[in-house]
Amino acid sequence: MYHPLAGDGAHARRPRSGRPSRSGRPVRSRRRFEAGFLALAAPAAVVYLGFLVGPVLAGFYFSLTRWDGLNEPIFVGLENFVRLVSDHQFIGAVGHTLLFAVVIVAGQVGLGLGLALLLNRPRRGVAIYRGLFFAPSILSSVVVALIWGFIFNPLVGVLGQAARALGLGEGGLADVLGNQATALLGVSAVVIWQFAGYMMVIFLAGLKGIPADVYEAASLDGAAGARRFWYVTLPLLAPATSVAITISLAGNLRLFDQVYLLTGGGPAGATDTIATLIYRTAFANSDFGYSATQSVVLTILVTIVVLGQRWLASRRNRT
Amino acid sequence: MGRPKARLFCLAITAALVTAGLSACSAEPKSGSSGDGETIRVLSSGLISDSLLQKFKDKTGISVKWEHISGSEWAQVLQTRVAGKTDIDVLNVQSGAEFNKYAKAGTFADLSGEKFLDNITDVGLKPGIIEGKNFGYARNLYGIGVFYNTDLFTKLGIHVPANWDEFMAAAAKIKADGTPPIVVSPAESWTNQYFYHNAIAEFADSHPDFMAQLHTGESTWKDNDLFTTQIKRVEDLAKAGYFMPGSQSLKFEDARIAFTSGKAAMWLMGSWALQAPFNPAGFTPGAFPLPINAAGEPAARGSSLADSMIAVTSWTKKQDAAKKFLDFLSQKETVAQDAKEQSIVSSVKGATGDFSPYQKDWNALIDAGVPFPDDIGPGVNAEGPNLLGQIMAGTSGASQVIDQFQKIQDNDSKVGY
Repeated sequence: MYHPLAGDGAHARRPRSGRPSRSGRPVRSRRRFEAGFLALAAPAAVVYLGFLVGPVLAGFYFSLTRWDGLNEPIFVGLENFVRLVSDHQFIGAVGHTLLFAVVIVAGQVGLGLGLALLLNRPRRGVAIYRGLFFAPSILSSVVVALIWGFIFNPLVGVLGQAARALGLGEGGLADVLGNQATALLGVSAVVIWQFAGYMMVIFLAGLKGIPADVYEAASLDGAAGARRFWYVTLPLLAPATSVAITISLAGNLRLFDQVYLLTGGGPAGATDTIATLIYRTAFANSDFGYSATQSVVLTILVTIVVLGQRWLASRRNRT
Repeated sequence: MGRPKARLFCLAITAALVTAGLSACSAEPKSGSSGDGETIRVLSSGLISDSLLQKFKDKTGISVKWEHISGSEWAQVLQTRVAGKTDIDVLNVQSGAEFNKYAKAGTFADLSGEKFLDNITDVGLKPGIIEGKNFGYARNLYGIGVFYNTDLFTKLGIHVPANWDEFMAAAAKIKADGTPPIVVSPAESWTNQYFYHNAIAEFADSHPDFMAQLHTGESTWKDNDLFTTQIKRVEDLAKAGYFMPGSQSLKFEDARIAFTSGKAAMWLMGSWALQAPFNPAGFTPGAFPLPINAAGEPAARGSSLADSMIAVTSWTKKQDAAKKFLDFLSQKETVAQDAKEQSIVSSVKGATGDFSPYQKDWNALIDAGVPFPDDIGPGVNAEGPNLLGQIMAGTSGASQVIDQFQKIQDNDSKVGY
C-alpha cells in the first residue's frame, strides 16, 4: 500500500509536517515547540506528581511502617501485610466491597441503559425526564444520605411507616439498614438511584452515535424489537457500555461516602467496605501504618479489576 | 497576534495562574489583625457562645476565632491541622486516647505551674497530666448512667434496680407491658460502650496497676472480671430481646428521640444527652448507675468522664493570649454562663450551675462517679464498642468479642498507645 512517508529514503527524511517550516529550520522550530509544550505542561505535571503520584508512593512506604500519624514512622517490613491475611474484619470488608461493586455496577448500568433507551426517542417532555433522572448524580452524597436516611429511619421513616401500615411488622422493610440481610442492598439501592442517571447520559451519547442507516438495514432484514436491540443496538453500544462499567466499577470499589453516612459500616460490620475500614483504622484507631497497608491493597485491587475489565472489553470488541 | 507572541502570551497567563494559585496556598490568614487587638484561633469539636467570647474580648481586648468542627469530620481535621502545625493557638479535644496521642507527640505547651490551674478540680486536671507535666485541663464533667422513664417505672411498680438481677427483672416487666425496655444506637458505635463503661472504671479504680499492665502485656482484658461479666450480660440482654426492635440502624440522635418520646423505657448514655433538644414527652426522666453489681454486693457507681480538654499548642506565637483565654475559661463566672448555655457541669472548683431541669439525679451520679481511666488506647476506644454491636446484632458471642478486644489491645500496645 502506498504511504507518503514510507518507501524511498527521500520521503522518510522529510519532516513529519510534510513541508519545511517558514524559517527553513524545521528542527529548531520543533525544539521550540517542544520547549513551549513542556513549559505549559510543567505546572500540571508538578501538581500531578506532587499531589497524586507522590502520595501514592508515600503510601507504599507507610504501608511498611508502624505509625501514629504524628511521630516518626517505624519500619516494620511486611508485618502489616501479614496481619492483613488473618484480619477477619479486613477480609469481610473485601467481600463486601466486591459484592457492592457487583450489585451496584449491574444496577447502575442496567438501569442507566434502560432509561437511555426509554428517553432516546424524541417525545414530549423527554428533556425534563432526562434532567430529573440525571439530577441525583449532581447532589452531594451528604444530601443523598440525609434524604435516604430519613426514608429508611425505622422510627420516623416513610418506608417503616408504610411497612407497618401494610402489616409487615418490625423487620424487613421497617428497618432496611438495621438488618444484616438487607443493609447492603439498601445502601446499594441508594447508590444505584444516585448515579443511574449519569450512566443514562453515557448511554444516550452512545445511542446518538449509532447511524440510522444501520437500523434501516436491520429493519430491511426483518430485525425488530428485542432482536434489533440484541443484535444491533447492544453490540454498537459496546464502547459506551465499557466506559460506563469502568467508571462505575472504579467508583464503587472505593465506595465510602454513602456507606459511612448511612450505616457507618454496620450493622455489626455488614456494610463495611475497604474504604470505610481504611478511614476508621487511620482516624479512629490512629493506626496510620496499617491503614496505609489496607490502602495499598485497595489500590492494587482497583487496578487489577479495572484493567481486567478493560482488557476483557477490548478483547470482546476486537472479536 | 503572531505564533511566538501567542505562545509567550500563553506562557505568561500560565505563569500568572500558577503564581496566583501558589500564593493563595501559602497566604497566611491575617489572624492577628482584628483591627483593635490580637486574635487567637481555637479548634474545637465543641461549642461556646458568642456572648462568652465577646466578654473575653471586652475584658482583654483579645478576639477569639472559635472554629467548631462537627463530629464526623473532627478526627481527620484535627490530625491534618496538627500534623501541619497550622495557625491554631488553642485546641479543645477529647480526653483519653485523643488527648494522650497529641500530648505525647509534643502538640501541647507545658502549662505546669500556671496559676489558673489552681481553679480546676483534681478530677478535671488529671487527664491533662502526662509524665508529670500539665498540658491542659478538662472543661467539663459528665456522668454515665441509665436514663429511665420514672412515670413508667412507677406505673409498673418498679423501683430503681439495685443490682443486675433487679435490672433484668425490671426489663422483663417493662417488656411484658409492651414497651421496649432499652433503646440502643449501634449505627453510631461509640454509644455501645456504656454497657461496660463503669465496669472498666470500677476495675481500674480497685486495681490501679491494671491499665499499665494491659499496655505491657502483663494483664489481659480477660483478667478484668467486671468487664467480661458485663460483655456476657449484653449477650443476655440481646437474647432476651430487651433491646428496642429496629435499634440496629439508630444513631445517637434517634435513640434520644426514641427515649424522650417514650418509645423505650431506658437508655444508657452520658449526661451530655441533656443538652438541647431534650424534651421528654409527658414524663419525668430520671437516672441511675448501671447496676453491674450482683445481689448482695455493694451498690455500683456510675462512671464519670472529665472531658473537653483545653490546651495551648506548642507552636503558637500567641502563648500569652492563649493562656489568658484558658484562665478566662477557668473562672467561676465564665463557667456558670457556659454551664447554662451548653447544659454541662464544669470542672472548675466550686462551680455550680443549673444546666437542666432534669439534672438532680445526674448531679448525684457525677458526684459519686468513678472516673473512667484516661489511658485506653484509640483502637480499643473505637473498635471495642463496634464489637459490642456484633453481640447486639447476634453475629458474635461474648467470648469471641472478649478475644477480639484483646487483639485490638495488642495492636494498640504495639503502635505505642
